[in-house]
Amino acid sequence: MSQTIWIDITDMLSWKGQFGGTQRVVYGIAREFLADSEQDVQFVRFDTHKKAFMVASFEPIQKHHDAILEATKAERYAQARSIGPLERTKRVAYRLAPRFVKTNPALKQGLKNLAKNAYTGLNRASSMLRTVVASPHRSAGGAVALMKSGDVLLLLGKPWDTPSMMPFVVTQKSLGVRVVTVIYDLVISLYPHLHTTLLFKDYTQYLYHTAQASELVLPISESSRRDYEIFCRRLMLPMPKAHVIRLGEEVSVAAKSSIPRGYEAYKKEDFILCVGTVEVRKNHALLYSVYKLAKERGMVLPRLVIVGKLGWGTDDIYHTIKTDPEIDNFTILSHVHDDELEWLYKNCLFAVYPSLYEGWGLPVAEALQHGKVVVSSNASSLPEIAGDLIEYHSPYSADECLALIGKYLNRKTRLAAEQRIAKLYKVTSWAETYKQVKDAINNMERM
Amino acid sequence: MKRVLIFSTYPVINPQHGGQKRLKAITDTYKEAGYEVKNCSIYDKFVYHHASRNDIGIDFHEQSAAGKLNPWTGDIICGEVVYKNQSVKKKVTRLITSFRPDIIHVEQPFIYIGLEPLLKDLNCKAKLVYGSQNIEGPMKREILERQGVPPEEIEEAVRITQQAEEALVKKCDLLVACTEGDVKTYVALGIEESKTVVARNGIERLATTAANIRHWRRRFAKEGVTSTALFVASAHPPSITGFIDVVGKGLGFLESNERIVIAGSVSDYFTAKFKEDNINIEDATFWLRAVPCGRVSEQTLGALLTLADVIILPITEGGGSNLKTAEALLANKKVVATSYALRSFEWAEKLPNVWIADTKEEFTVALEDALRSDTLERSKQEVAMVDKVVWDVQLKEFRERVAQL
Repeated sequence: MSQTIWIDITDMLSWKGQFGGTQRVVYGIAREFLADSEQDVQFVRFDTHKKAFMVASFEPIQKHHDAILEATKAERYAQARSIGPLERTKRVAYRLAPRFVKTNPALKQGLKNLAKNAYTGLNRASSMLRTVVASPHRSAGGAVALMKSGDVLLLLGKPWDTPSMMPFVVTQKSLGVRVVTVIYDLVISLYPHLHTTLLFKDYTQYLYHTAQASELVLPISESSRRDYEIFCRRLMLPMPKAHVIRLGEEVSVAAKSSIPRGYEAYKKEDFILCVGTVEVRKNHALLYSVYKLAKERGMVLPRLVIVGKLGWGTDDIYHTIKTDPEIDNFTILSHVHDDELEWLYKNCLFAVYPSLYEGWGLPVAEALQHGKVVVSSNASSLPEIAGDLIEYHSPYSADECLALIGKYLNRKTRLAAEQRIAKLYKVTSWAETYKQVKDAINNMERM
Repeated sequence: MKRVLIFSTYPVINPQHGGQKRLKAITDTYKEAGYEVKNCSIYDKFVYHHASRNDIGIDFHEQSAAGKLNPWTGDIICGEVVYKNQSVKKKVTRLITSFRPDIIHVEQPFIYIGLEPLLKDLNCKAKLVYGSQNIEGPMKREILERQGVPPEEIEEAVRITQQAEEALVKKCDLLVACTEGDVKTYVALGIEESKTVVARNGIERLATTAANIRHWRRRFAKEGVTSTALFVASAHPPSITGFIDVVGKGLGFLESNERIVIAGSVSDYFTAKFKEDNINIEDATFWLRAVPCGRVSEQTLGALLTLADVIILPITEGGGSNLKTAEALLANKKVVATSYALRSFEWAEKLPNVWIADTKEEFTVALEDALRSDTLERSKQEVAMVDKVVWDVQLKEFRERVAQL
């Protein structure tokens, strides 16, 4: 009897917006599996009500993907500018609060927390409702997925969004189903100070179950594999077989590039680019220190363009950057379209990426793909992306970071580095990632 | 009829923890030996909710001037108020003078802190029996150090405890200890060996009901649990640290159908401390493989014991001989224990279905092994050997000795 590979697409079927990192992985790998005529592939979604995997279709995901590509620029702007549900909840709570709450910092913080908790509860309830009642994929197929012993259940996405799924997956193992799981990162569980703690319990329990359910895990970096080992050791969990995969880096490079809205005034200025959500983990605070240190030393640095939405826990640093009279050359662009990002990559001097922790670090790969030098921190997985092709600094050392920025401001040095990158950096395709996943599955027994 | 007046820091009615159960068995033994018995405990009225007419409940907050107020030295306060608090002193005096005991039994040394000067004032000539449960001085130090109590408070508490214990050892007519090891320590402190008797902790056979068993069987089945390891303990610090040190909070070595079932006040303690929402991976996952049962009745405990595949005894410190060990052996279940838990039950090491493990690595491997292996049958001699752990047998010599007092 041949082996069927069942790919879980539960979270993808509920996904509404643009594809983020996880969605790109699911889409990139699943599409390749679908195209491979040698593989017997089926898609499944988890039905939380029936506590079972149901056969599903990949079609709605493909349609959604195509719709994103076809959307007009105005539509995408509108979508990008729309605020998230958490922020919306906070704003409603703030609007309704009496004046004395708004003016008292402690009460104001309490209000934020209250809104956050209300959001968490509502989010969980709506997530359940989405899956049980209103899910658009509910009609996509009602048959229970009959997985047989020896079949592979491939978890590529975000099962932690469906907490009841993993305990069920653990039981499938005892029926002989071979569970294979992609492990992204352990920031939420092992480095909770670098992430919002809203997901801590669900994500940690998800990781716990992956170790008990999976025969094979596919960490996206050596760093994630090491962290996963630490996690398993601390909780006395069995460490599944592990095979590190390298994710595809092909980004849909826009055919044309255009200056970002609101950036026209600076278009002739040199600038350094930093791409990534503004959140504590991305360590924008270090860049602020670097610019302050440069001022202190009488160095003039070019404009810093930060591309990324405002995320969790950065109110203070955002306020500092915005109000420090000495810092007048920071630009934060929160809603940037692909062709604008393309313009920024093309025209920047080089990129910086001072992150404190990454599961992989796609912006580093993207910059390299554009032939640009990257000044990166040496945290977690980042040195795995380009090895000694680029230079690294400690994420805690403004001094080291400034020294590298100073080095690459020199045109000759920068061009020489760009030539090396153009010659040596190899972009990983999704087809290659797929091959790694497929080979790992086929060689599971021999690992 | 001779009269015995027994002093303790907890009532004997509705015994829950090991100390109470031992005291209850001792009380019954005096009665069986033909004595008229009265119990008088000076106890924390917010901890114990069942007491007899002669028991004296105190409010520790009101008594804080009489001693250091921390939960780990409450027993010292109970002893101090006997002499320092006029109301308590009056009640104890009235009891002694009206009952006119032939024997005063002091269970653990704490009450003797205040009782010693009172007996002197009253010129009481009753025989003195010291009921030891541990060598209390070192034990007190260990507990307080673990709790991070300031060193000067520790020294003071240890000094008071040791002073009372040494006075009892010197003045008592009979000392009943839990182990031979404890006897050796007391002999070194100056008591003649002939004045001592060893009464290991024993147990009563646990009874349960079919309904209780059905309830728990259903509950486990609902969660897909087919194999359980039972941990029963009070929230006494050695029970907590023993579990943390030897089993740990990472229970990932248990499969999805296996659980550690936790009963007794330690369960309440763990529930309060290891919250699923704590930002700590051990706490967030602990209850995925553990079941909290809280404080349970004897019948419920009987049901949990009946359904358990394994009983764990992760005990690494504390004196006395553990009641839980006797219960585990009598239950005829697979047992995973530290060698410390089996002290004074060393003979049990050779029994089938008993695993000895002293480190976390050994213990978890042994537990996995125990949960996943078949139960071996005991021989007739082994069954007879285990049956000796009941109170009747353990207190036989004590009963004979008190009859001679």
